[in-house]
Amino acid sequence: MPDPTKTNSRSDPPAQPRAGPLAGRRRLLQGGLGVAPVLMTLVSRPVLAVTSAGQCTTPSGFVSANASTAGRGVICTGHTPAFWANSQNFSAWPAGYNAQPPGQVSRFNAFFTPNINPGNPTFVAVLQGNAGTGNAAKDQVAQYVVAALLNVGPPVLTPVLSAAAVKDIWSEFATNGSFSPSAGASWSAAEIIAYLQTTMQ
Amino acid sequence: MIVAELPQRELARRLGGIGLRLRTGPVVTRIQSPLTRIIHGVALHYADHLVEDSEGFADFHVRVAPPRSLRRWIGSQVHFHFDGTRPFLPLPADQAFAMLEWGLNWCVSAHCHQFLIVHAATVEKAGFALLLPGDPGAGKSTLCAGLVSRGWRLLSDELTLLELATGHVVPLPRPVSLKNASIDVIRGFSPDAVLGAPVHDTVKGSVAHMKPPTVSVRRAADVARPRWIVLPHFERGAAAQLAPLSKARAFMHLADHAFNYDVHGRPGFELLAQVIGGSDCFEFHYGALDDAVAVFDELARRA
Amino acid sequence: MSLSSAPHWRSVPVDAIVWREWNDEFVVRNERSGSTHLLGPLAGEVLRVLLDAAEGLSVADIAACLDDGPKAASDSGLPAAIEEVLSEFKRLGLAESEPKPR
Repeated sequence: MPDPTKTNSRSDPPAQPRAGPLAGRRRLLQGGLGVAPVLMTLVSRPVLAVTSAGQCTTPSGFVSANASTAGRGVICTGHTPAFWANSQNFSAWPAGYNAQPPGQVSRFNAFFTPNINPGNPTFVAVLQGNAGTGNAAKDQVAQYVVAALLNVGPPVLTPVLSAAAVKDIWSEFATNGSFSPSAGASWSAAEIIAYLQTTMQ
Repeated sequence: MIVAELPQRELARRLGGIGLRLRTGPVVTRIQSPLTRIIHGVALHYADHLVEDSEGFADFHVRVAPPRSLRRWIGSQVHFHFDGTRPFLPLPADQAFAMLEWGLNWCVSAHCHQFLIVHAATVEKAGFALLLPGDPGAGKSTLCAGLVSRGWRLLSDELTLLELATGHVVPLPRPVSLKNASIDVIRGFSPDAVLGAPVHDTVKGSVAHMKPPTVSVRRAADVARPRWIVLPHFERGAAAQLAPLSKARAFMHLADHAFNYDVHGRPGFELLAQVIGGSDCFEFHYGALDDAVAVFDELARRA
Repeated sequence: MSLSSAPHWRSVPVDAIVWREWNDEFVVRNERSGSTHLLGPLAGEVLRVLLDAAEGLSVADIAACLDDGPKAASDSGLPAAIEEVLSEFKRLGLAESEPKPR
């Protein structure tokens, strides 16, 4: 292992002796000024958990398919339905959505089609599991898509899902009873919810 | 004993029951699956790989199987199971072998933190390793398959394992994954290459796997010192051209393409610095595999 | 030597930084942020000067360290360029300033 006291040495080994100060300044002035000081930054990513917790994927791909981030995956920090339904977190709702007055209270049918009729439940009611579709699995999917929509924000907590993608999931599921993330694959309510849960902490 | 020495029935029996303990470089994986596609895929692509004792240790336990429910008869999907969990979403049944390969990649890239793992193809000649890190579509697997068909040893197609203490590349010889047009390119370039049947409509388009050459598998214990780091760019009709790449930029590229750079912190930095320090770094544009092989053969001659 | 009211700059502690230089480009890892940076020639030299210093340095001090000629402090381009570097360093958590009377 290299001697830790030598970790800040120059190149190993230096291709030529270190230039004197005057030559160095000329080099700096020719090469340095006008160039952005910091050319590139790799931001630290949190250590990936062993399980899929904290890693999330687009509906049609694996973590390893997202190779531009070299398998570090995309970290999703979305919130669960329970989080958004908790009155203590209402102040965290993104702009454009309101859990309660003042401001227009957000209702399901303003954002999702097909609508839930009759009833047009509020977001809070849906997040609490009371969408009132008449079907327990459908109520649960509604619960998770509302949470997923709030996670799109802004701020974007779930980079893998756009608002349009979330709405598509509901639209296809509510119409066909399933959602197809890619050719040949088909998700039931349980699989949709399991997927959306991977985007939430 | 290697997989080819197991009668097909015995291979099927192990895969369908207690599992097949397969060695791939430093990793032993217990694989279970009732699926014919997996049995045939393993028999073809892993023919030269060692089978470890049934009672022995395995680093990972994986299973590729259809769901245990009525859904197994509707929609024909398969799941990848890892240590009893299902870390991924299901895929169509015809993609079962590709799913196994992607799943095995994930096992290594997410867990083998005894190495610094770079997303790169790596091949070896004259004891020196040529690393080809790159984004999807850059052509690194095609280049890898081409070089491996012309005398270079396969160290890895996707996951390059760097030993922290030495900076050496530890081989992980596994099938080379080819996509779309590359499948026919390699078939034409290397008629003797053993390719599995392509599957279509995957996330990545059409995918097929090339069996690693026997010599590459047999020499899995022979490490190699990194000597060249080359960022490939495939462009139809382009002349083969190596352009020098600054070491500092090559360093950033490697760090950006390392799965677990952040896990290793300072020692990871030191390791990459050592690898970069000892290597010549290039960008490489090419349009034809023959040209590419000639360029790299020349590099090896001058090493 | 330095103006008493000019801000003085310090880098992140030496033990939080590890770096290498090849051909006037620097790669730097900051243990505090966990980030890794690619620095151009001037930025790299400024960082090195800050790391070597026992105490905070002003822009004029830094310019003087980078060149031993008498024109250093009044060179038209250098102090402004150093300011820009330091501003980036501050944003990224590589350095911080303190108004420090001498």
